[in-house]
Amino acid sequence: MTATSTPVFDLREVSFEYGHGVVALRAVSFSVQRGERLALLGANGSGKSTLLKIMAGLAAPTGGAISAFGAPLAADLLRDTAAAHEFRRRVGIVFQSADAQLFTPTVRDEIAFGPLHLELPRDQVLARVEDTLRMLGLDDLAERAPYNLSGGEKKKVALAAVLSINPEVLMFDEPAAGLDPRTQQWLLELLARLHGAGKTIIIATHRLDELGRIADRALILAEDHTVAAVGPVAELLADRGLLLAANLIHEHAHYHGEVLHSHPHGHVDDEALEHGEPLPHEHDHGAPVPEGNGAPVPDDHSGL
Amino acid sequence: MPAWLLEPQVAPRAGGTRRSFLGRFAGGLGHFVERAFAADAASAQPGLLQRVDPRVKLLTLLGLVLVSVFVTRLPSLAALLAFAIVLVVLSRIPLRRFAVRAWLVVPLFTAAIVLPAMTSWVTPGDALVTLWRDQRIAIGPWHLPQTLAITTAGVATAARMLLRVSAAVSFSVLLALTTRWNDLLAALRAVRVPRLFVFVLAIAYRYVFVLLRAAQDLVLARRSRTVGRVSAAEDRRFAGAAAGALFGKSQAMSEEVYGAMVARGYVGEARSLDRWRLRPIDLGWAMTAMLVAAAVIALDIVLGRVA
Repeated sequence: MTATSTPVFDLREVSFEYGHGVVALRAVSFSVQRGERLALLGANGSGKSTLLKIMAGLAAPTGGAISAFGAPLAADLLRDTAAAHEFRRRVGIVFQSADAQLFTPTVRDEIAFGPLHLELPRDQVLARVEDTLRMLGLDDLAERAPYNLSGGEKKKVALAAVLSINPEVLMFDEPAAGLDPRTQQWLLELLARLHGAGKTIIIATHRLDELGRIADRALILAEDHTVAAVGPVAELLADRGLLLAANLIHEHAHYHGEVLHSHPHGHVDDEALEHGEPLPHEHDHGAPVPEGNGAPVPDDHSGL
Repeated sequence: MPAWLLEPQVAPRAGGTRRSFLGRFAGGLGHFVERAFAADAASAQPGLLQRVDPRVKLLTLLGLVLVSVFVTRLPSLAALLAFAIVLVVLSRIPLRRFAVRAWLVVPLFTAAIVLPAMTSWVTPGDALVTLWRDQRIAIGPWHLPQTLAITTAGVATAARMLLRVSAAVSFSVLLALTTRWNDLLAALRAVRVPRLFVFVLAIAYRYVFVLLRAAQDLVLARRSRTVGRVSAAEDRRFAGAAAGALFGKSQAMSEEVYGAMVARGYVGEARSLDRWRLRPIDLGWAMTAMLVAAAVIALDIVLGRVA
């Protein structure tokens, strides 16, 4: 990571409230350094997606201040076409729902959309489209309608559509959601290559598996929409109390014979915990199973 | 876990095979999407109009629509419609698909509207077919004419309206079927159509697919939980409730779609991947379209003088 004095993003006491009084973020403060890999962790509804939208200049905070690349990121600024183009060239976001992102007639048009609207020279746009198609193995789908693709293919096209802009900062909202294991692995490798190329990567997720491979540092949003913690991934993963309070792991109950047994349980792989403490099974032996209370829940540690 | 959830499932009674209102609704949504993508597929065919610069095509086809609106003689309108059919063939658009798209709904609807105009009640003239003579017919408080006939002038009026609508719709559909959506938007901007208008079109087109997918999901979710035959009234109640739910979802969806466009540099200006330069084929097409328009107008004037 190449940290510089000017952070890519600097948020000070950022809050966001939806029009009908629903709070999404409360006084969130943190910085993102150039070349960093940051994970935004939090339970469903904790405000991760809203935070990403604010950082992507798609929503304006209702309180506090945010600066990007050393300049205030204000709604007024992005109304200016030149400033908006400059910012969009530097920051790309891949949405959680690929369906919302893909509605040009063909995959090729979709990948060309960003560079074209950011006014890159036509030759460069065409070259980028071809390169991106090839890099992501989408050549065969180039003339297909994004609407008719599978979930994994749509996600790849959504990613390709942002990569073709070649932004310095890449933001992902739940990138692995709905992907099969092979595509998840492919995505992890791609993220590693992008990070190796110096990109700043910000990923919003509520999953802890593979976290050590996608982020160096993490910010945990609590369920009350405040920042619960910011720090190195390994340190945060070792804090079971913090993860439980943020609803990132849960008390997992299962049976040994007729004895109820529970322990904190999250979806954390060994590599993610390489530098931290693995989550130990905390044996809370509970009451015997009452008769006729249904079949025991299998201790299945596969991903949710 | 409640005991009922652990009970073995009883196979449901088989329902009827008749397609319900919801089934037809879901089918209709799917059909709409298919048609939209078929239009995009047609725009990629190597036909005559597909090769014409979108700006030239937009202006010339809109010009032909205007000519269809202003000429009044039946032969002039028939000539315009014939020209549209020639263009369909030269643009390699399957005639049947074009007919369904261009002539099934709007002209048929127009035909229903102009039916009264064929009668002596609306358009007096020489009787072609007498429907009834010297009869007192009342429908509730309304009394129909004692004698009603289809008149020659009435048939001419109806035919004129039908031909005019068919020709105008044909040129419009030709534009839509032979031009990629992004190119069409960019062409609209190139001919100085206000940015806001083009922006609303762009958003609406992108958004309609997201909304349709959501509507299809709602219908499929409902069908997957429906066993046996459901009354039409219940189907309609569900459709009403689903429409309400969709309305609620629509705002969040529109923000997502718009956000995705803005995040990739969209500032209300549509851009096309194709580089537009006027080529001989564009000039050739423009000349042909203008000649046809001039010929049709001349024919209309001549026929007017003769009459």
